[in-house]
Amino acid sequence: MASYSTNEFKSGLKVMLEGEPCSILENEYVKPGKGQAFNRVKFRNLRTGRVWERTFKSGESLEGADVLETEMEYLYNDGEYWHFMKTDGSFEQVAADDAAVSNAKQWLKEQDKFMVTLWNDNPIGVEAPNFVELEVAETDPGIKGDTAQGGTKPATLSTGAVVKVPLFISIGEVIRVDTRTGEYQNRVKS
Amino acid sequence: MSDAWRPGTSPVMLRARAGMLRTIRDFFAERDVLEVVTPVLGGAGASDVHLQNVSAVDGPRTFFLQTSPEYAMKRLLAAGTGAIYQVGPVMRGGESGRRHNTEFTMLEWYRPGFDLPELAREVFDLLTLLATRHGQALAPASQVDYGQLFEARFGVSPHTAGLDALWHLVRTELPDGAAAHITDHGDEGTRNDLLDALFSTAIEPGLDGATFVFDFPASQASLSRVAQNERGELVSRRFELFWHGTELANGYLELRDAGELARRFEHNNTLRRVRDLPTVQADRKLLAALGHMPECCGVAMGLDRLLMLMTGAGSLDEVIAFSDPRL
Repeated sequence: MASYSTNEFKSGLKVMLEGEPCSILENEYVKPGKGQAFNRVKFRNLRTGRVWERTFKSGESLEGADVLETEMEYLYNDGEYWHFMKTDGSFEQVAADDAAVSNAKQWLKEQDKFMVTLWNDNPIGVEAPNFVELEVAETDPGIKGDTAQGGTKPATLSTGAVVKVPLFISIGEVIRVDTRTGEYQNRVKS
Repeated sequence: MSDAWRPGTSPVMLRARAGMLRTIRDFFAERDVLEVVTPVLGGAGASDVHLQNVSAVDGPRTFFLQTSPEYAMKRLLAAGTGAIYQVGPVMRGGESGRRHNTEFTMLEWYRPGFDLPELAREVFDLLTLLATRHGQALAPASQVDYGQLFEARFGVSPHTAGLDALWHLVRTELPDGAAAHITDHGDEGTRNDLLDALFSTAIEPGLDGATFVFDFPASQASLSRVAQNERGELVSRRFELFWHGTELANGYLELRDAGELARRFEHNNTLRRVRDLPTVQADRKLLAALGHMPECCGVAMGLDRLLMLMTGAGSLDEVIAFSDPRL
């Protein structure tokens, strides 16, 4: 893997920092008055999602990280691993562990497509699309015609996610959910 | 890449720059300060440890592109010019970023007979004039003391604190990783690195409005005079002007002692050797001239940054026609 010097650091570059694959968020060149120049760099640890800030002597370098973000189709869960398949026609499959899918776990529906982050070909992160459409598996009986009231009730979706839905939603209906907020958007006519 | 030939500046920005230059020239003409032009090429480079000289090779002779017109302007002052100013390009190797560019435009002027507060007032007069023309109202500038700011924030004097105390502050007071770039050479250079990390991370961001910071640590004197403050601490008689949290100008009570300057040049080379940086040959013509230079104060101001702050531009690329990435 190539290495990158501080003047090549830019937002989105994937590098290794203290053994962890990271994505650069920000790189600022700083030179205090008569002092030594340095770069103040913000990273996101791609495995934990944590943000790190560190300074570097200008000209220092970091090893690039073999990181690829690619769209994959979710296949199934075998009890321990979640299996995904590339959508580029190669049918290549990878198995993601609990840590890798943690952010997207409650939205994983078979045959849906997700962004998978591969590090050295191993999945380290799975991101759900901003909106998903899922079937309601369990909720209190729907109240017909009650579309105007503001009341909500909990509903368990086919993937196990629990979201607040309007009172008129009933089991078997498909709803659209914003995965960033976990909020119900609308009912999907099938 | 078909657009790669384009400048970063809009026509409006080019006009703003031209207006700024005109205002500056009028300002100094009214005050009887003479405009001078000194060469971009120099026989010697800047001595400061953290200035990287860019050289230009012409057959057997190597020139150094000037990091500021300071050495040449001081030779003019020594020859009896009286008050002078210059607007021109300067180069600093390796400096590139949102607020840095290898080549930039410097305004530098010298005032024989002025003391530092007088010079700071003149800097502020000019800043007020320029800002007003760009529709920015300026509140009166604050004047603060480096040592007092530092002590109020960290509880120790930056002028007397030892290396261990500064390392301790860096570890306990700054966020993790904020000083990861500093190598401990156990010398005055490391001390400066630590002071800079503390000051720029924990104090500078809090400097609101136009602020003059006076009396820096003696180890950061560069070409300014070192003297005792009221508390008997050695400080360098310098100020830096911050505006919108950005360093904009650097003023000195100028050192006139050639022997002291020769010692500083040598000391800088010692620090450079420890850091595997190229040493710099002392500018003998400056050393020879210094004894003839009148008592004076001088200041340098980065005009591109000033333009950026006045126009609200997000980076130097918007105010410099062709910044580093466009070359």
